[in-house]
Amino acid sequence: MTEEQKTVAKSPGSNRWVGQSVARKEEARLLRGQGKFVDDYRLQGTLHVKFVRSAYAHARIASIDVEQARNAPGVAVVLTGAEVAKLVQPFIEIGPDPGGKILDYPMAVDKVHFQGEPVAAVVAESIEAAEDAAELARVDYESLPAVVDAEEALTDGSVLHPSSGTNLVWQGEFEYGDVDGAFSKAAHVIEIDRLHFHRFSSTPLENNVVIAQWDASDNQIYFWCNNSFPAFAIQFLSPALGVGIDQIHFQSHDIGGSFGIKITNYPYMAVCALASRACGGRPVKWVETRTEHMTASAHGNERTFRDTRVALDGDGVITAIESRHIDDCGAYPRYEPLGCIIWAQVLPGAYRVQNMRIHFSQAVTNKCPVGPNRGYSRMQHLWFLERVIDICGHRLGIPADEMRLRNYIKSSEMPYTTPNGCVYDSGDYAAMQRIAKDLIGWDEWQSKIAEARRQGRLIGIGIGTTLDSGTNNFGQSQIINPRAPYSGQSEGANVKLDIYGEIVVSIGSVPQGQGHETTAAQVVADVLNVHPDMVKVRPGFDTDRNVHTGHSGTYASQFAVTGLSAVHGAAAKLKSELSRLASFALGANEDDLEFGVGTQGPEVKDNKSGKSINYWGLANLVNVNNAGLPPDLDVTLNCRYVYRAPFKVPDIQRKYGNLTLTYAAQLHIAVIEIDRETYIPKILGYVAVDDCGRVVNPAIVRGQVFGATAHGIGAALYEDCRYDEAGNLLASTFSDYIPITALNMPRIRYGHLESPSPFSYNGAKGMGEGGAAPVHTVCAALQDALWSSGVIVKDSHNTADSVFRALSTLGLDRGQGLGARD
Amino acid sequence: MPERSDGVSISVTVNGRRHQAEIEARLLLVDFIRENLNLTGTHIGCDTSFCGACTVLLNGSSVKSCTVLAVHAAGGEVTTVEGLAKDGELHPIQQAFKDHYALQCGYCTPGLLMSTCHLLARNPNPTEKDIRKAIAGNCCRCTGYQNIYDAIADAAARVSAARAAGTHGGRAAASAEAR
Amino acid sequence: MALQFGGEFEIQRALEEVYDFLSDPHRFGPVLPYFRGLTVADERNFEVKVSVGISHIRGMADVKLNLAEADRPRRLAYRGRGSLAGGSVDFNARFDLEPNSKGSKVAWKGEAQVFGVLTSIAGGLLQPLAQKNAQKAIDGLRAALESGVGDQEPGVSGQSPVGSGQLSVLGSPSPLATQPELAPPLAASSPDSEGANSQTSASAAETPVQGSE
Repeated sequence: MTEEQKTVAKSPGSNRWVGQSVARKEEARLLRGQGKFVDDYRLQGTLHVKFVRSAYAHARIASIDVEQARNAPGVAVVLTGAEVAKLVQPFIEIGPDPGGKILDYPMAVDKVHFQGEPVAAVVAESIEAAEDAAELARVDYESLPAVVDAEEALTDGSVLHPSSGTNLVWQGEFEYGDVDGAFSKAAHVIEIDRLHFHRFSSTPLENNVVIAQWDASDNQIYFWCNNSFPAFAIQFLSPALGVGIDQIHFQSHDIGGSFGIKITNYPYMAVCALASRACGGRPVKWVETRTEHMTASAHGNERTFRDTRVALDGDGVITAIESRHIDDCGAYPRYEPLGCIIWAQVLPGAYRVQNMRIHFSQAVTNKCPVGPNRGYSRMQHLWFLERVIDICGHRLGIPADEMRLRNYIKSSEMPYTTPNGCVYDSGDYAAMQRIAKDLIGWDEWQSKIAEARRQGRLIGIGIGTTLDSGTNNFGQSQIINPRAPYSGQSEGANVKLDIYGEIVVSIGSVPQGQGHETTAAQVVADVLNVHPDMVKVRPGFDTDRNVHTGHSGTYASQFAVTGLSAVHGAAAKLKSELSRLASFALGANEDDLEFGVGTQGPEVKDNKSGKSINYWGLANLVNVNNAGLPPDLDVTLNCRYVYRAPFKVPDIQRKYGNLTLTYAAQLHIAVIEIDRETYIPKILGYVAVDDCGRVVNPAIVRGQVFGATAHGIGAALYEDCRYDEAGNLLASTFSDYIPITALNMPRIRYGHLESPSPFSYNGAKGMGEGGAAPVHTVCAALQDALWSSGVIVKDSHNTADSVFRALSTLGLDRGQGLGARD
Repeated sequence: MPERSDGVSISVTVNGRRHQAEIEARLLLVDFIRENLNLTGTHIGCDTSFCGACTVLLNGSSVKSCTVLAVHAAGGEVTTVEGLAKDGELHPIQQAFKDHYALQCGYCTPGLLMSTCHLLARNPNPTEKDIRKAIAGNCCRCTGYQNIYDAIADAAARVSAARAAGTHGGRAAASAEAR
Repeated sequence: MALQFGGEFEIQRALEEVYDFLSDPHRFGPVLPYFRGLTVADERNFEVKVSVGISHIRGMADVKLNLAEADRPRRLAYRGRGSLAGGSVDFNARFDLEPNSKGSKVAWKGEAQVFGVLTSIAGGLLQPLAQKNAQKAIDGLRAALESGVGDQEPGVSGQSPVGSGQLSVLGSPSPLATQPELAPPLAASSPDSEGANSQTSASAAETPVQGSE
């Protein structure tokens, strides 16, 4: 034991570790290249899968001939989509009809619906043999017209799924307050025809990987897979494969990022499992290539905002917003149509508008199915609101910062109930703006920009305000589908003393770099008053640890609340058992007991007598030396706890209720210059301010903010999953998609505020997704640079090319005096 | 296991240990490292040589091992992330990454560490611009690079100090140290 | 991704000769650049194997052709689909023939729709490549026509007359199959080195030749 560890015993209180930037436990293995990612597993007898995939976005499968592939050297089995369909039930659909009628099988059966959809799986002794054999598969397609635009899809000119008969997945109207009244009284009404949020993906560096082993003798299926929401996956796989959930074992250790993209890989899990069963239970491994990932894993939602009308009073305060939102969910809804409601968690954004009417519809298109990409469904809506604020502010001659201040919800109003019944727990957006302005040097930039504009430079400064709603209430699914059997939120954890007194923690979460082992250890260390190094946290996720709930996974910005509350609950339970046991062992009153660390490690001490018993001794009494324990001393020192978020099922009729527990916020400011020669946007300055309530580990929080900022800047300026009119994905490699690198990621100045949440035990708020503030901010800065040119930024993705085209259309290409036209 | 056909015989030193193997001429170095030698710290993240997760040192220079044939390493020295720590003690570059929280999921980290070795062996006092250029071929999706810039700048100082003190990691290209 | 190509040429041959050449895959097939083999299912449906790609990066493509319009001697139109690893090309190609003072004028025109990862990697290159490759194919056909390969009677090149339901197979040359005494003396005049295949494959008719992949 180190000196530091010994001194812990002397310091009272339970807040020594939470709030500190404790060094991460994960580094010990990750820095040495000893992480266990799924492709690192070596199982005896593994077979390898190569998928035959459609080059067409939309086509009938006229015929499929895999005989040559079956007979190729090294091939164990070939499964076609039609063969698989006979072996499974189609996957559950979350939504009601019409989307609920869609038939979703693990591979394409008689039609393909997006480029890259798998039509057959070739399983062989080596990946090379599988690839060679896959090329021998002959598939005859009858090409069908592809729809790549959601609005066009809704005309049902070319229907993707005959089973539902329409491309509409879901639609609904969300109306609150007195919208018409507000418009009739408005001092100003501003109309915005069309805004568009583009399709992109967080593209984790590690692709999807599945190893499946289906032992038919005892009908147990084993998965090693980097799916980041395994509770959801097994609920889909169990009925599809016809086995009980308890027969499905799921394990993961280290995951190379997910950002929500790895939630919907369960169709591939199903194919691998079936292949394994067909091969006598040999493990079957699928390692996704980057091109497959870009084409056929999951993308983020694309959304179009039409016919927006905004009512404002004389001071520029928005009194009503009316708009039609059309969401594009790709070829299969899968985790959608939750996206149809999740945006409503931030219905008014950071703003006080009371009257809103949003018509929301979701359509399938011949593109990669969508998944809950980082910022899921909220970021699209928050971007929309930021554009509305900027466009309206400009129209009324109110500066962007002032426009926001006039419209922000005030911190004094927190907790604040939004028009649709969501409760913002805490936050001070005005203060965040002050901090951000201070950090970027707002006033200085105003004069620098004015001077630069006099020289004819295109330069702007913009603000993006965003909310990262965390810990969601699955009851919102019932607003979409009243029959959905989902509500609330939960997470499970187990804290125990092992036989020799080791403190061991297991959690139902699925970390992909968020440092759960570290923060969990901090929490337990505070409860038991020990050093975090004395707390072992089992890495990764394993259903056999029996600690998970039906909500277990890592998504929706919630671990600090759900995971840590579960850990805290389990640790508190353990502490209570230890207290009773120690009281018996030491013959002491529980009130006289003190938890800490002694000369023999973690211990419990009776302050009255000075006697103590260490964890080894306590564990010994319960595990191997229990004769003499009083019968009513019912302790096991193995404590499982499930945290349940305090939710109710929302009012489905009114679409009203609290949909998320915590509301972290971020506010960013960017200064961007558009080069007059090349039109390349360049970031000259960037500030990110975050508020995620009480911070458990500041270094981890900062890292998440930086990571989310990189994703957002990348999406705003470089990353675009664009399709041509035939449904070809034009950015199917990293070299075309261009994830952001050190060459174009600027230095960020970081600021911070802590508005504790009254709704979590520790005052923390979940914060990992980040709310895509940079997308809002970069667009705001570009817009500020382009006001004088008459260009309105209407798309979330802007490049040198699009800026050039926009300026050219207005006859304002290079060389012509743009200058002082404010 | 890949089917072995009549192959090429190679001898290559990896992290100080010599390996003899009969491999197919088309085998990529990254697959040789991961599958034949079971050193899974080197990762694969893309299929167009973009991401750098596969970066290792070959004869002291960083290479993207997904774009090098294993036969090209014949007779040479390869250093992977597993070769950085010595007797359990982290290399100063690894220590700098740890202290600056320069990793989250850890998937890009081995490649970044090796690119840093390459940089510091040639430029013991890099500017931030030098650092960005050196890691331009290493894509990270988690950290936003901020802490990585700091970690590498700090690593430079630590490597120089280790060099002066003659302790582990003084020569950033660890392959040189292994001799 | 939609591509267009087209052009026209004049040739000192009668309309019927041009038409017969362009409608007989046994004659025009071997003349195609990078031709590797031909399978005829019936008089309107064939499959041609060609090597496609950019410079050294090539792969084998199976191209199914259907003679959709056969209006002798004025017009023919093919519909086709080429499949190769990573993609698929659906195309149509039309030939409109008109007599002129010297012989015939041939206007050719086509459209292609490309599907697959090809469009992502080579997207920007595909349009110019399409025109270039189409032009090259046309030049080869025209040269073969001019040099008289089109004079051959149908059936000399095939084992059996092209008839409905009969399968005939033409492969690319195998050295063993070359039988010089049967080779027409025309091969030397073929401008394209690939066109030399036409001579040996014609003579290879005696024994079935395995097309090389």
